Amino acid sequence: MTSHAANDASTFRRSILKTPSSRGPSPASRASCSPSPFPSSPASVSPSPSPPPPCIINVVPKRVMVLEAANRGQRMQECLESPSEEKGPLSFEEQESPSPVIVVSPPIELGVSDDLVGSLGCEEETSVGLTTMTTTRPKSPFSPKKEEASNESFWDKLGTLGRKKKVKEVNEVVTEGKHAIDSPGAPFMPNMPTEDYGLQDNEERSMIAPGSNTNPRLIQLVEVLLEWLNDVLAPDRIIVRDMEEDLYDGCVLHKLIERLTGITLDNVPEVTLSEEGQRQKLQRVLRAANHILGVGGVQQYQPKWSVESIHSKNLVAILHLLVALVRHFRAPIRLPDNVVIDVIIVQMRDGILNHRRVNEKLTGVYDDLGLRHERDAFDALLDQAPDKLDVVKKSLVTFVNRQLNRINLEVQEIETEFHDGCHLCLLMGLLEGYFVPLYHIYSTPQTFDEKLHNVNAAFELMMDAGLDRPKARPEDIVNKDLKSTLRVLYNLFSKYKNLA
Amino acid sequence: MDDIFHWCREGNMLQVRMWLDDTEHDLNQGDDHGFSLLHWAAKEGQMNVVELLLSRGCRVSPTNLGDDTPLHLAAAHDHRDIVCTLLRHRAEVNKVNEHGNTALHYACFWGYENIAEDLIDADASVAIANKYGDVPLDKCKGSMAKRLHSLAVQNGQKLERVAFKDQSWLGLKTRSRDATLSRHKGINIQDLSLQLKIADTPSGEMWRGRWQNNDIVAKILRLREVTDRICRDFNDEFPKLRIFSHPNVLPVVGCCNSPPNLVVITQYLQYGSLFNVLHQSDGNIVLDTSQALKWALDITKGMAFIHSLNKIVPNLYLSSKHVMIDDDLTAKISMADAKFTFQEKGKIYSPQWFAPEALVKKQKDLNIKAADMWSFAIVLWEMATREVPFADLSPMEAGMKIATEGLRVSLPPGLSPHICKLINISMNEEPGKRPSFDMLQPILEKMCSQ
Repeated sequence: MTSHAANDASTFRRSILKTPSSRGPSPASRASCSPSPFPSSPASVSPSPSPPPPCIINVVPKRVMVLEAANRGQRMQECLESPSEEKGPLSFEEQESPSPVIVVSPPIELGVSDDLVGSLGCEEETSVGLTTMTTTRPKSPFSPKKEEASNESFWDKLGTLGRKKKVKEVNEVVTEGKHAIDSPGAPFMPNMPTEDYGLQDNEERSMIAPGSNTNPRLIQLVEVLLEWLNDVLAPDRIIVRDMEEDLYDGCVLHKLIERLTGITLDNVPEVTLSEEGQRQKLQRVLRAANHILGVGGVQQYQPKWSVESIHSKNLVAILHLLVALVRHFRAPIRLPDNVVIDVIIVQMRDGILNHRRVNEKLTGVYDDLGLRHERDAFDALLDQAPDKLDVVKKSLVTFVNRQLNRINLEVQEIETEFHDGCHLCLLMGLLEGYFVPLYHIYSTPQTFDEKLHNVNAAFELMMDAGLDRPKARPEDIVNKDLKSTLRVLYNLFSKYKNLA
Repeated sequence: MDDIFHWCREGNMLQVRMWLDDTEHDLNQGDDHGFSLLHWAAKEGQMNVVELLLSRGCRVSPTNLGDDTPLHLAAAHDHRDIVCTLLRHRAEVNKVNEHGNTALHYACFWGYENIAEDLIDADASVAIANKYGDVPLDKCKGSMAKRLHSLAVQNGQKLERVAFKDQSWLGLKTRSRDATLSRHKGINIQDLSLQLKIADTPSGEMWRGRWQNNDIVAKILRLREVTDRICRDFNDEFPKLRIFSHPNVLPVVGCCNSPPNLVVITQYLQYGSLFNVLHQSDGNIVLDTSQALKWALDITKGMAFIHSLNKIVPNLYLSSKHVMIDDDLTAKISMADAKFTFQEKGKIYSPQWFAPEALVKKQKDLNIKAADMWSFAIVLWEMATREVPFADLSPMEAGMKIATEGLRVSLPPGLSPHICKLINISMNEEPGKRPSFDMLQPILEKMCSQ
């Protein structure tokens, strides 16, 4: 398992945490710690010819990674992102330094951002052996929550929920307020040492692999979702800027669920400051969400999110939840297809942190439809014979133009020229032998809603003509989804192709 | 007895007029024995009522259960003025009742010589034998037979005896309408017997059938689905189409609201629509200018009446397809062709008859009466040229060209200048400058009489 995981994670050369006693740098692991793309010519990579310093991905939330990557410059990114390069002929003998090994115990400070960057220079002079990095380093302020947890009762945690004596309450609020001010509110500090992090044996954490952060599809997905969130939540005057930072505490999710379902969730406090309060709130909100989505029950599909994962600002979990909501409520947005990201799953086993890399699928092929329907000829066409696509498009354009030419119209681009619904309505009139009165549609639609109205009108006409309800959603047509447009046109083509 | 039959008998003009003003009342309805309002007024000699009924367009020669027409009754009861009025309205003079008697039989039998002479002058045959083999002259007393015989000879009548042939089973006579026709607007679909599918149109399937011994056409509306809401709208809207009170309006007799079937029932007319007669006729009807003018006048009267109603009939689009030709060659606006609000949304199957602005603007933003006038001009053009407007264009093409490219019918040379002028003023591009139907009516009446 270990070696396998190491192989998987070949890009993360230094992130394997091992106790030297239990396992030395075995050839397998060394081989897996494949050569860096740049150490062969140290001069060229000055001032830091050594392989990039370790970044411990398990404790570093995505944002820190980004920051780090930004600080380091693109090379780090390249190094992490391009496994193909690393599989090159370079052997590890060529490396200047032995592949680094990170020792877990005594406690190490890895994946630190600013300090680490600052220390880069000296690191070079000392040794690449990363044991040096395990020296105690200044910690940034961190929430004393954990310590408190040991000596405070459960009721203290509940804060406003527990009815207690006034004085105690006041004290509590004061301390809580202090924490709220002092701490960033996050349960996990980026610089937290591993033992504070508190991974139990066999416990797992997952996070986005650094290379996937810049995956354009992921960025697009996040953007689309943010836009959608802001659209939905506009009446509540909530503006979401950051997926993880704004959603982890459950407040926004609470509003989102209420807005989407139109019902008010009972027993969910409006504002909570304490971490425990946030968790409880999140738990209730998620329970409601799971109930709506039909997941998480005893015999149901287990969701890919949990109170823990969302509260720990796990972007993957948050995205899964949002995508599921978008699908369920058939939001009129188009999610990018096939957003697959690399996720590192770190597991504590026998006191060792192991990690493996997994492909996590956030959206599939048809997620944008909000429907899981059976694959049809168009899936096969687009997946297997994209070269034939042009032929299909061409014959559809010919078919459509044969009709539209009669009223002096012509289309060239299937993708773009049907999205406003006008052509579809006129086409139905030509095919079915009636005139579509111009007051029935917006002949020069400007807004999304006007286009949507037209496409809906066209769908009505199609259904009146005895065609099945189009499998595509009107929103998809307006969003210029090629496959949906092709489906709708093909549907017409197969019914009317013999029409004179 | 406070019903319309009683008022007709006693000549209560006020009540009769009030009753007739309700558009849902059918002036051709008959009582339990098939006596129509005109039967009673003719029998009782209520000249005012007869004239009122005729002016409202009641049928002149309906039959009761004994196959008597009002003319039979007026002749038998010595109401010469009414006989003359009926004859002026082209009552069928040689119609026989179940005994084989014509009106002349009765005039002769009762010795009403003046009436008998009027009848003979109106081509009543003296040689029709009744069931018992008697011709009218056999019924005369004294020298009256001789005088009538010479009058007939003088009028050039053929004197060969016409033997009685029982043809009542053919059902050719126009019975007074069953009063229940207008009494029951909601009709049980079980009571319909649909025999023959006549046509399949975009708005529905047309079936010929019988209902309570009446020939009817049932249109089963074509709808994708019939929701509760549609049923409710249907119930709200169809009563507005039951306009029985005008001779140039063909009412919807009743409707069946039995989801998934919504059925609109109307009287069966053998000639079909004006469109059928103009463009698909097998030559049974003589189509000359005077007939065309008469139909134009009929349509004008019907539309003027519809436009005069307080509650405007929504979605009634005038075209030759929506004008029906009755058995007596009267043109009638077919209310069954008005569209329900839930019907054919976003589709216009006959844009050729539409005013350009009606293709672009919603009904509520439209001068509907002016738009109807444009449609009337197209119908006039159709009757004048005997052509289908824009026959070579599909509806979509025609609609687009009319709405956006200024496509208009062209007036071929050789048309009557009067008709051309009429078409031109009715098709004024400015809706506000088009005439109204009641303005056209006197013009057409004048043209008809010329």
